[in-house]
Amino acid sequence: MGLSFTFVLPVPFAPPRLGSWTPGRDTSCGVTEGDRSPADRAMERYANGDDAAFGELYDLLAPRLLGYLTRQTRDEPRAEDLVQQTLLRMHRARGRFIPGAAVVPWAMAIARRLMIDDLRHCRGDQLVRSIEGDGAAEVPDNAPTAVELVEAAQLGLRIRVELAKLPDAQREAFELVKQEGMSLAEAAAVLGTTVTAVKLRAHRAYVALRVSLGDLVADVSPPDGAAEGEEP
Amino acid sequence: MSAEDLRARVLAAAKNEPSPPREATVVHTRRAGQAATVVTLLVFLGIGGMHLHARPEGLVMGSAVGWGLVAVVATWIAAGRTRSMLGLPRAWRLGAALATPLALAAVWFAVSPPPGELTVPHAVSVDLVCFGFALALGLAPLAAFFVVRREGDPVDPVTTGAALGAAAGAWGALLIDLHCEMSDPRHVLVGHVLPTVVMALLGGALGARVLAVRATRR
Repeated sequence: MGLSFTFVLPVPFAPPRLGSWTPGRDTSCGVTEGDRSPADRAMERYANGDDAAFGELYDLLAPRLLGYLTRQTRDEPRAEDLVQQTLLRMHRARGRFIPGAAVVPWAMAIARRLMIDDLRHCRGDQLVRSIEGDGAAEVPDNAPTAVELVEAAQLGLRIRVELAKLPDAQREAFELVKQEGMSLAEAAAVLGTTVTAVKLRAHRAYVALRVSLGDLVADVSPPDGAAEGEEP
Repeated sequence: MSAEDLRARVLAAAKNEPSPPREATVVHTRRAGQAATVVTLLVFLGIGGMHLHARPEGLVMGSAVGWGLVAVVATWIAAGRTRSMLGLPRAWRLGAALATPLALAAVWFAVSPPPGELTVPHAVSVDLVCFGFALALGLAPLAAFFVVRREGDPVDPVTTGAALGAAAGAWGALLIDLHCEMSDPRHVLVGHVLPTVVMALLGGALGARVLAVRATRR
């Protein structure tokens, strides 16, 4: 049973990808060696002692981490610093990398934790609680400014604005699944919650975006009942 | 900073900080396990080793096998290798932390004769002695778990720490149960099972500090 939504966007906008989405998709099972990502294979070589693989691992992971952290922090120098810390943590723990494990969820989980820890010390506990918890429906202070809103002629900025209005838990689930392309199981592992919770949070974010961006939506298939229940 | 500068900075930082590859880490992990086993056995022998004669044979065998299984399962959930770097789902680890003491108590009552037959009047100090010994027997396994897994849980270190603490406590409970000749239900619950709860709480508290991934202060 899968849900299918199709947004027809007039302007190219890579992240977030509001294309088709099937909440039941879980690609973490039944992965063979041949199906493993280049990043997984690079990490495997690095864990086995091939020091040259770290550069390759960096090239495969750093852009993704930097994009995620920049979107979350809206502070590029801070995001760069967190990318460095994330990759150094992975470097230190390379010997513990489990053969056959997926490296991206691990990297994203480390990056997210470092970001939360960094925010905790930079901005106090209130914002951290907002990020870690189910999220109050407040617009975080990293939302675009009024000037940006006035100038928001492009769809990308419009979507960012709408994303920023979402509760943090919903936005994070949506971004990991839609923007980072993670499976529901991977996103659940990164967020430390269940697949069902991620599915519901992402679904709610999707519905909220669909409502707020209704004028930009040309074709929306009605969701079936899979993700319409209440989050436990 | 340009992308090239950032790349160069990260690669240089990694080069300046040696990290053991998998082969060395496996050796390190094995040594930590061996050291914990030796220390625990020394503590066990130091307090007197096994005393089996004063209790029903079925109770001794049943509780030893049952508690051993509980300890193995708790250890597998808390520290076992899965196909994910993020471990088993949080619900499993939380379940292990909460259910391990309950499982120990349930196994013991399942294999023991009716409680009235085993009740022996005794001082609380007797309970406390076993309580302390059980904690001492669980400390080395807990230390080994934390050494091996330090800064290794970016998602939920408190729950992982609690599960590791419960697993270590279960090993301590197994050994103290082999040592102690007292089969009074209250004594078993307070002196042998309750330390597992304390170890789970201790593991949770330590997990937040030792297992957590923390940002470097700028």
